[in-house]
Amino acid sequence: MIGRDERELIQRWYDGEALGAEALLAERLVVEEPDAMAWLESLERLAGGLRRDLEEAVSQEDFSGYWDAIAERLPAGPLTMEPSDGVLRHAPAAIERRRRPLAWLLRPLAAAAGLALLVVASIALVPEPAPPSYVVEILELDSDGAVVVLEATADTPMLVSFEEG
Amino acid sequence: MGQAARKLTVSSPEQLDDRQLVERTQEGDQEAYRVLVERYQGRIFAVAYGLLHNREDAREVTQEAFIKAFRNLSGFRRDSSFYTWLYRITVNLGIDFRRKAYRNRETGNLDETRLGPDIVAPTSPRPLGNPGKSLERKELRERIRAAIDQLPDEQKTVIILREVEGLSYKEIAETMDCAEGTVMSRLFYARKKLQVLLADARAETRS
Repeated sequence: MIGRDERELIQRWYDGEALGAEALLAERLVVEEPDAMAWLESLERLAGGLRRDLEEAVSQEDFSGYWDAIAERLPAGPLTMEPSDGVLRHAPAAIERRRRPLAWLLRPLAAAAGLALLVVASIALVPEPAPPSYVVEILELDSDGAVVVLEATADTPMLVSFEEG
Repeated sequence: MGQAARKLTVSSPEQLDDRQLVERTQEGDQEAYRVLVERYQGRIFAVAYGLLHNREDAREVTQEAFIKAFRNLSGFRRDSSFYTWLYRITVNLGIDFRRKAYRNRETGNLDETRLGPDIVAPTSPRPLGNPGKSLERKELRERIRAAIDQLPDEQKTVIILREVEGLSYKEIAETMDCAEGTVMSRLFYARKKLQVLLADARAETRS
């Protein structure tokens, strides 16, 4: 009785894929094990039947009109890359449709992110008593009266804070 | 003389290998493609017929495979072989064709002649040497067809590419875009299953 490993080995040998020691082992199995021989014979029987069937089908097929039938559907001239080559040149309409509704959100989100940064900075940085050379600059951000305050001295980095109007 | 002979050799597309023919086709030389078609039409038809078991369908898939290959030839990677690429196109078209045919059957939109075994009489039957043996062979072939039809597409494809086309595991793996180990495993399961199905069919015939 032979197992799956032996059957696979014989299959590889039969298919011409087993070399060297593997091939010798397969040959020995076939000679010594009746099951191995039966498996090999079943492979040969199957291949023979299948080949005869398809060889007969091919031998009975008239290929004389094939080229004409194919040629009349071929585009003329040098070949150019078709979209079906797997390279996506344009997003399909469905993707475009899905993408478009989100576009309007981008600007407000960016503005909100910028404002949030300014707010965080204003909370995190506790103002210290102003040194003698203290400089404050107030920039108006929008018409609602929100302002950005820039504070700086000659020897400290610039502090940025945000104040709502 | 030498130059003339060389020129003559180069100008004959039949003498060129696949790679050269592909290059010429890519440059717009349809005559080069004709040579490729004539070189592989029999083998491609065999694969299509093995998958579909219907002459009309196999013919359609074969021609469609060559047309599709031509249209996509500009994107063909030259590091792979033309015929394994062509086999891949054929196998995909054949499988799609079968699926569509089954869908049509399920929706009641079936043309019975376009699905299943080809029952059309051969156009040029071979002379029968031994009628009894010939009948036996025919029965075996029909049993094999019926058994193969019961295999999943992947197993059916590997068995046809291996047994009929004689492709190596590496070439089959390239054609089917899978590992060589997967090819071996699919072949093993396909053969085991066919062995069982054929044994069942023999037992039925005897009883």
